[in-house]
Amino acid sequence: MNKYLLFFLIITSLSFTTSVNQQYISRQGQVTFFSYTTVENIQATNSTVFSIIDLENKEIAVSILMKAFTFKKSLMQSHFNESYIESDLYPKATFNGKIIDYDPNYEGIQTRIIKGNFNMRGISTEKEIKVQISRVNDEISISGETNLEVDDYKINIPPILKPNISKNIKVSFNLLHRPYEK
Amino acid sequence: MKINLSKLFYILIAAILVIGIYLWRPEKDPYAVFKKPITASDLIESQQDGGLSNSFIDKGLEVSGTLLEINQENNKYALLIEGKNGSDILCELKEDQVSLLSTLKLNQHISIRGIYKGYLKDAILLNCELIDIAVHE
Repeated sequence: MNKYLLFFLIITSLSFTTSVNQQYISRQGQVTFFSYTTVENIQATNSTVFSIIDLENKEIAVSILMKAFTFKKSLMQSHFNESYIESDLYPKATFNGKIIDYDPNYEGIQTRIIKGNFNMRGISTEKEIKVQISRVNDEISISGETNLEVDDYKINIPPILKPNISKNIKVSFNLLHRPYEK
Repeated sequence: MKINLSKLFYILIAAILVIGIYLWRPEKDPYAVFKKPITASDLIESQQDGGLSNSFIDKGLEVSGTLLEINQENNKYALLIEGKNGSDILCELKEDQVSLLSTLKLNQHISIRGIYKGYLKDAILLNCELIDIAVHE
């Protein structure tokens, strides 16, 4: 009887470990960007960012719909989509990277570097971003900040508006991931 | 000289009026631009067929389907409505709709309207409002 019980327990524990989810997704990730100048401060937020983490390969992929950024001023939102980003031509920005030295089994907060490529307006740049990764039960939260240079993405700002928009845009993000059930 | 100043004055007034009308023009109601009731699965199918849904972008859509999830993250509430082929409708609610969430139940058939912005894994609508809330079974 003990042999059968032991066998049953081994089989059950094996099936448990093999069914642990290796992919986590976030459908409502938030990305906010800030432009600070002496003339005007501009902020826009996107709360429908999609992100997927593969724990086995320690990889992350993020997809951002540019038209989903919201501004306080609708005119600024129009300029952003029609003139600066040209969202009809480049509807999405993406980031693909690897989380360096990440321990997916650690429950708590880890500070790590994500190395990868950020693509916006068809232009790809390498980024290294310091992030805080927090795992609590079955939720993995990734948050952090980075900077983007407007010139790197060939964003054309009319001369008359150049004093209003910073050349260096601060981007912050908070992505809460849950197990991906296909 | 007097005539020139007078003309200049009228040109200036006209310019101020034009600029004022442009800056303070009433915003178009996005829901008035395009309204076509569509099921969640039809919207997903149209975007997965490739591009047909681009004509819906930045337009108001009324979408109906089965409520899968009610999510709150970063102080934003969103409804997930069942779509098709692994993609659903993610509908971010307007703040004044949050009080209606208590009237909803999962797997309930609901209708919402919102501004379609495009799709990632799911079709994304912003500024969503609940309409025609079905009677609970």
